[in-house]
Amino acid sequence: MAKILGIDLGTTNSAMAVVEVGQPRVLENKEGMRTTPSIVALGKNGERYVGVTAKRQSVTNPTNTIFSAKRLIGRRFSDAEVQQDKGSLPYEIREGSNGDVEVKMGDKWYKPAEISAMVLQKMKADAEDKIGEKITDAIITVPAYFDDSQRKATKDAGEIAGLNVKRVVNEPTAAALAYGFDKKKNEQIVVYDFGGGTFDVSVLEVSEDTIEVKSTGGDTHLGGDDIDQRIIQHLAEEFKKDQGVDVTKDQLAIQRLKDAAEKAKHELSSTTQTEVNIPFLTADASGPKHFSMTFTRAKLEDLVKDFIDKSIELTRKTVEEAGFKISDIDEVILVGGQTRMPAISNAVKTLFGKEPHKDINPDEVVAIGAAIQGGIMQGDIRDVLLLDVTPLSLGIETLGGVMTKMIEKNTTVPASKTQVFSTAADNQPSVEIHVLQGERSMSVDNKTLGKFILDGIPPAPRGVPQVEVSFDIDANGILNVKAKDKGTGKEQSIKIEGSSGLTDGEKKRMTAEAEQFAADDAKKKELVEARNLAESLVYSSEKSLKDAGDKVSADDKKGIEEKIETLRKAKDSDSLDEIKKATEELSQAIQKIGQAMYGSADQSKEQPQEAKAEEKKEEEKEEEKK
Amino acid sequence: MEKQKPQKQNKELEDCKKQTEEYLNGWKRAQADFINYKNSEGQRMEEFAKFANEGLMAGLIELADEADLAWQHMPEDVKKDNQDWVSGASEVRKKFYEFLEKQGLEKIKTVGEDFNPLMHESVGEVPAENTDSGKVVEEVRSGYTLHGKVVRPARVKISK
Repeated sequence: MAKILGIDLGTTNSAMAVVEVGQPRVLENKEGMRTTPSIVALGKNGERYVGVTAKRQSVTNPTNTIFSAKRLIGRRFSDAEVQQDKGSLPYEIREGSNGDVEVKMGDKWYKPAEISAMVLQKMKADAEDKIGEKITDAIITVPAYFDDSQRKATKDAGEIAGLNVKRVVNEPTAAALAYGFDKKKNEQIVVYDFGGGTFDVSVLEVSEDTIEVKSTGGDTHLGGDDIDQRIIQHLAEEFKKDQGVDVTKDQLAIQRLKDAAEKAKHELSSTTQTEVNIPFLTADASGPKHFSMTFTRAKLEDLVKDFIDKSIELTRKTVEEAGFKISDIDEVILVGGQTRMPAISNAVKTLFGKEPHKDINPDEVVAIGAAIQGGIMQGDIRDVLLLDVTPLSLGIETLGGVMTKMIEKNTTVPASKTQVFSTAADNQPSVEIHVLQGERSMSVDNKTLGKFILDGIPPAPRGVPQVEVSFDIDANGILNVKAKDKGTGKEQSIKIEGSSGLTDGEKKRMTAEAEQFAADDAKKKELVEARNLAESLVYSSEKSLKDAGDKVSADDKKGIEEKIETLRKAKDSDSLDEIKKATEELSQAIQKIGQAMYGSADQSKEQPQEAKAEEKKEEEKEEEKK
Repeated sequence: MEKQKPQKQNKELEDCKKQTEEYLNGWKRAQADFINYKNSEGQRMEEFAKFANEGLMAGLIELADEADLAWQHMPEDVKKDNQDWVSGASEVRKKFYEFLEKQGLEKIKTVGEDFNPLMHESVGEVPAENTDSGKVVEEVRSGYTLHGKVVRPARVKISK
């Protein structure tokens, strides 16, 4: 089945996604970028450029470089917005024969829809290139406030580009779809979209089977670009203060300041301060001038506070216009790259008193939602089996009361895992399989799901029998645990139903506890592991000593026996250091046996050091002591 | 009643058959999806491995730029009085660029080339008498490709 392309046709940048194997995936354009500038140009050589190439020649070809066509699409020339924008656009626009807008590129006049069509055409071609199949159908998003004429023109743009536009979807609705909120019946959702050039806020209401836009607001001339401008301005002022040179007229210096400003802005989203360092920014008679300054997040926030305050005020107003109180809002979604700025997400959080959703890349969330809408229409998503994941890890208890995980949490089911374990003592006749669920290191801290015993294991030294334990969870979450002695073929199993039958509260508690006790648990586990290692070293040392017989001198033998005794005592203590020290000493001493054996006989047996290493590996496949 | 029974059974059988087919198709589809996904994931991993260093490379290029600036601004007296030191430093610089090249980075050609926005970003125009318009006449900031992909376009001035 041909894929439906979901397209977020933005004012400054556009993005696209498709649904693949039931999952949305953002497609990169031919240049390898996940967003495409919504810019079209006619180059001086007569060639047409779309996207980043158009952007790269815009400085020297401003009159033939058309950007922000979205501000004009489907509008009448007489619209106040068009009249307002007219002055700031470097390219020419005029009134078309039927009162709409036309833009001039080269010698020709185009409808804004034709310009948008060129962007869409490139995206279509790049998408086909990327997924290797033809694309005919598309979902295109538009701002919620677009009227019929603007929607119609957007649809026309798609059709000019050779796309069958299955539906024109509201951007906030797409964002809500991306988060799966179409299933949240009777909820009120606010979508806060701080883009590059525009700020939009929408209030949505999800009912039985629709997502309704209750109100929209915002500022069509407020965006990340304004924030960038403020930073550049600030940096230029600082430089002037510091070095006495005004760089605002120096094109090249401004370009470097701009790069630095953008970098600093990005960095301050994850750190609280950054060094802005631009060596050799400019020069005067006295020599080269460098720019160096510490830029703090607090300063940045101070610089753009009025923008943020304004957006919050507009959000409050829009919620009121929808007839809701702030407290009525159930979910808040952040869209637009600028919302990565902590001050913005914090301001939104403070306003609504709840954490806004920002897990999905805010530059891509709308395109993803559009793709999902396509998937839903195609039945691709609705028909996809909803596969569960294991909410908590599953495992068994092994030597020393440690929980050994077999299936990690968040594994998609059905799933299975098999691992071979062994015995902990010589001639151990049976093993107990203690099935556990949880994230803690020690089995006592986890939940017991069931226990069973596999017996009839033939007498053998510890570590020799091979018990194969397999976990299998089917699609219904039913866990089957089987243990099989590979020697005798004997097996036992247990079926545990509702292994994921935990309440949300339990899951949360268990996960939180695991985090809380992580350090503690790690210490306990380390102690048990050291103890296990000590035990197996005692065992193998005794065995080696016996095997070596009189090849070892009585003195050496006595020394080793003493060390064995020390370790045997130490391993029952709670002191990790003591156990480690005694282990180390014994392991040094035991090497003498190896030396003695190699020194005395050609047909040397196993070297003890090696035996020890092997025993250590054995720790992995362990078992319980009962 | 007797007569209806086989009919009912037939219908059940029919339903079952239909369901079997549906499930089998779903299963086949899932398998196919998985295989296709695995294949495309393989390709993606290849791409990823090839360009995993892109961020690091971009950072190195920036450092190289600034080192270059320092180089260009080397005071004349330093140059004159410390020729041995300068030639040593020049070797270091050469080595560094060779290293970048070995990583798959290639410097984008500029001056004398036709302006090409796939590779170049124009930041200004210069009236030119001896060249055709639309030619790159000055490189303001170098540009690089990594395995053919533009990591950073060259910033240039073009003839008017």
